[in-house]
Amino acid sequence: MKYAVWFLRLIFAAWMIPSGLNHFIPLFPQPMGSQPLSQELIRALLDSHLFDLVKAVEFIAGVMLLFGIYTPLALLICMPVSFCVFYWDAPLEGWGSGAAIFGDSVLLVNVLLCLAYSKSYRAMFTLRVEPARLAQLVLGGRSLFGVWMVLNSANYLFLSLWPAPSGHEALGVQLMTSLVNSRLLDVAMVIQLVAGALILSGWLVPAALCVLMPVSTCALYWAVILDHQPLTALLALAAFALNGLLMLAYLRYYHGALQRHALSLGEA
Amino acid sequence: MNFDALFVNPNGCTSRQQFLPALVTVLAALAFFAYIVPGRTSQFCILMLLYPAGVLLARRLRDLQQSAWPLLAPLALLIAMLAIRLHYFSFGDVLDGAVKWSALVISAAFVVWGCVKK
Repeated sequence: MKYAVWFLRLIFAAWMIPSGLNHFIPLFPQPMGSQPLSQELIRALLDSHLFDLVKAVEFIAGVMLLFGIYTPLALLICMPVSFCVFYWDAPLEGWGSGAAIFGDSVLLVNVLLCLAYSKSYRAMFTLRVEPARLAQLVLGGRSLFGVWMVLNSANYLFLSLWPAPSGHEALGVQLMTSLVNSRLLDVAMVIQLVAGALILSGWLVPAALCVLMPVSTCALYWAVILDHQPLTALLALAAFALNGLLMLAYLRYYHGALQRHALSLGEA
Repeated sequence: MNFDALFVNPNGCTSRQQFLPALVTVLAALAFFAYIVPGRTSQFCILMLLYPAGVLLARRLRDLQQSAWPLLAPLALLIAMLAIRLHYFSFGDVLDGAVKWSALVISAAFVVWGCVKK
């Protein structure tokens, strides 16, 4: 088993490093898509410079994996990138396309490696958790965040009680339009709905907060860096801060994922 | 044995028993990029794998009571070979071929040494 894990880790890390670096130092041509939706999305990511963040994560996570620095954390921070690579390559480029094989593989390898380090993530999946201190305050913050996430996503997906932000600045509008057209925003909202419901109910809270973090980060980037509207920026900042503070409140459940040196399945 | 000890930390020793399966794993990863992944991307991925492969061999040499510094020779040749394949530079057809074959032969010699010597 451990040899299979080593093989996957080697090919994943060896792939991620040049793939991330390629954005900053051109090494090979960056695929720009062959379908209108994939082209629109990659153009919006490049123009908004959100791609800088994505590629930096890819590069840093690859280095961490290859050099054995916080491997479980590297696999976690890589997961949203792997999912987006899969989404761009498979649903947007076409399930039967050559790119889809690559997209499927990246996500599959990331998931398999996470499973290989499942021991490190076990605490994150504790069904019912208690904060280390300030229990009442954390419960209040958790309830507020959970309700907020559930309401926001339910409004977007089913209710349409208030308009979803579409952007005011050109780059904000471009990115939001591409996210809506590609239905990647739907995916983000489903994640928000499920994770929000879990946070609200108190089930699997550390894992739900972790899954929500990339969504909160992207919302913050969109609102603060791209759109510059005070109210949406303030709300995005508050959601990001709440997400981060709640993760800090449940820090002990992330200790396994934050190990400097972790062992995978079969390793001693 | 774990990944970090075999492929990351150049200080330490790796026995022949541990070396052989780890070597097969690195060679499988190299073959994956050499034969399955197309284009320039694969060459850069192979370049990345030189680090774990180098660490593995260095640890094996140390286990054989040898210095790991001679590994710099095949490593430099392999990097030159990849750079030539990526068209970053060229010494002309004959020398490019010589660099390629010497890189492969010297690397293979070190690998065989690590595999055979007890």
